[in-house]
Amino acid sequence: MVDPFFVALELVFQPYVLLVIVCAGAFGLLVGSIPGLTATMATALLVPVTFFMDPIPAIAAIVTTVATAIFAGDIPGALLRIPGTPASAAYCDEAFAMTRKGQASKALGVGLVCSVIGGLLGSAVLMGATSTLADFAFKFSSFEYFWLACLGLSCAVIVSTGSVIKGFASLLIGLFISTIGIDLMSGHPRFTFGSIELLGGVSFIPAMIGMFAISEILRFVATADHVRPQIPHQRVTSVFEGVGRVMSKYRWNLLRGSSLGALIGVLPGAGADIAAWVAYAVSKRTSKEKEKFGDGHAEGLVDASAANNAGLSGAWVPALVFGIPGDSVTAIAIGVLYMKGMNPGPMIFLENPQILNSVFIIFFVANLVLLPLGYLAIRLSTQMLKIPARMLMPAILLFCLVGSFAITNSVYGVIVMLVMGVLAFAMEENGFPIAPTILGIVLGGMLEEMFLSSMIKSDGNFFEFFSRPIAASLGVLTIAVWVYPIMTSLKGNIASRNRL
Amino acid sequence: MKFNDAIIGVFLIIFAIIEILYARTFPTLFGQQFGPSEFPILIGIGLAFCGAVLIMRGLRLRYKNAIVGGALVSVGEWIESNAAIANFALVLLSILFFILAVDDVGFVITSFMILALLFKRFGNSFATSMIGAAIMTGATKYLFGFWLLVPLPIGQFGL
Repeated sequence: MVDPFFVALELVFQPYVLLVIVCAGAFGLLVGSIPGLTATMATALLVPVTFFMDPIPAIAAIVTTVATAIFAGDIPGALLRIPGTPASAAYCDEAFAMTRKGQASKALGVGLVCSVIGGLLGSAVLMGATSTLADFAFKFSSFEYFWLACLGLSCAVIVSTGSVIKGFASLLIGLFISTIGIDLMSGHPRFTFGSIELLGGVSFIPAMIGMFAISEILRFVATADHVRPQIPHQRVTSVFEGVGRVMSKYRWNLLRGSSLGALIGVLPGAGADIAAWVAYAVSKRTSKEKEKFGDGHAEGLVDASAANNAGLSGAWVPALVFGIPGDSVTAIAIGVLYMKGMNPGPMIFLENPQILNSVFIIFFVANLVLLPLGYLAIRLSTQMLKIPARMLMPAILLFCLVGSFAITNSVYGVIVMLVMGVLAFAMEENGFPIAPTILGIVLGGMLEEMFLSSMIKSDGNFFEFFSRPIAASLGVLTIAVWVYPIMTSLKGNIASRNRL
Repeated sequence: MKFNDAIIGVFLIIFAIIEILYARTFPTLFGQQFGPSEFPILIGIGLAFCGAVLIMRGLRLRYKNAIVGGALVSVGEWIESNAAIANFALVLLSILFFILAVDDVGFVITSFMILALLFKRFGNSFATSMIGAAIMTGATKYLFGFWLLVPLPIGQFGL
């Protein structure tokens, strides 16, 4: 009997599949680099095309598109401060700060290499430790998920710049937005005020386009020319120059970001976005040069860029083993697997081991292909810097309009985009960070579901939230994250009073 | 427009009170003392707490007569520029126009009108604006409508 791995090699290394990988990579880079268009949207748009493909090229198309789109999200993030995908939002300001310092090449080069290495290490984790990691994640109950979501949200406040209290308010606004729509546990509509569209909740992708892109356009038109920060027109010719030194200096960050990303990705519900947020927060907290964060420091980029691509591979572990999507992209991928008659779950190991091995191989190939394609995308994308903003902004507005429309196939997405764009503009004008709002919207539903499930299990006794070892550890860690800024602030106040 | 933290705090508290009162009208889960109102109420409490802290901070800054936060409301530099206000309003009106018109007029005409207007308003020449709007509209229609199969509205004119 032929080893399934060799069968898988034969299935993947066919000219047609390799062509699909290259085309999907180009598509992912295109969509990911357009502000507001996400890897999720790229995957969703790809589904009708994969319907006409065999299982292996269909999976190859999805995996490659997502891997390249997640990296491509860094490009507009670094060049225009508009993250192409939510996974790039965590370090968007950092990358943009590097661009303003004339280091666009370095920011994108570091992002590309870290994405490739993170993706490859994540693939190794997916391949080598699938059952172990899946077993670990499988032991999680709602208590662990609740604390994990709390930890992710707390990280959002920590990484936000400016006032912590405004960061918390921003987070709560996001959580409130996530409650709009029909409550899945009781079926009761909340804050919908009779609107049928709102029953399904506030559509996340138009909300993100509004908060990151529309607010940016409004800021552009509202800022007079003489005070508008000018993006330095710089040549991005030597993408990999200086990257080796950064990699060497932050090699442990690279390894930590990749490992953290793969581990977070493997947890259902926690995908590449959270991996990037947590990795960036960990990087900032443990750095010896904390003060440099926010001013264009490559350290956070290394951790977070590696983490989000590693998280993609990790997200497939529970998707393949238990049929539980690690994130929205794998949720779509699961739909494709069902469409092809391959029901994900433990049985896939017995019934279709060659398909499972093919997925592992595709992840490696997709991440390797990312290096030349990503390099090409960076070289081409820098042309955006040469386009005058007076041409670029209306064009971006049109992409935002169409992108929001495409998600809901109605103007409802555009309305959400407009409202959230104005809200984000007003928030930023008054010193409220918008990133916690986005994470609140993403994680709010899961947090509430886990909270209510745990409350039901514990019959309303909150101490039960600490009754399991992993839950207790996560809970204590989360509370420590909450208490630490308060203690630091109090310590600072006492010290300043003593000086007086 | 920048508001003193105290004003934002008051707004957050009012919003939180309304939200909590409304959430209290939600039913509880069968056989439980909690339900869909629990989470929004916790969010409301959190917002009210943030509001209270912001009020204290805002008032402290105001009484210290600090430069930043001293005034209750301060307008950004851009508000003093009529051109900036017009541009700001134009972007918002363009999005509103898209929302109201795209289903009836169709994607191509709506997009062309918005782009041509914004290109011209932002300082491009008339010819550049028209050509740019036509190319961008065509490219977007091709990319999304034909290539990505997004059902962009064609309106009454079939465009």
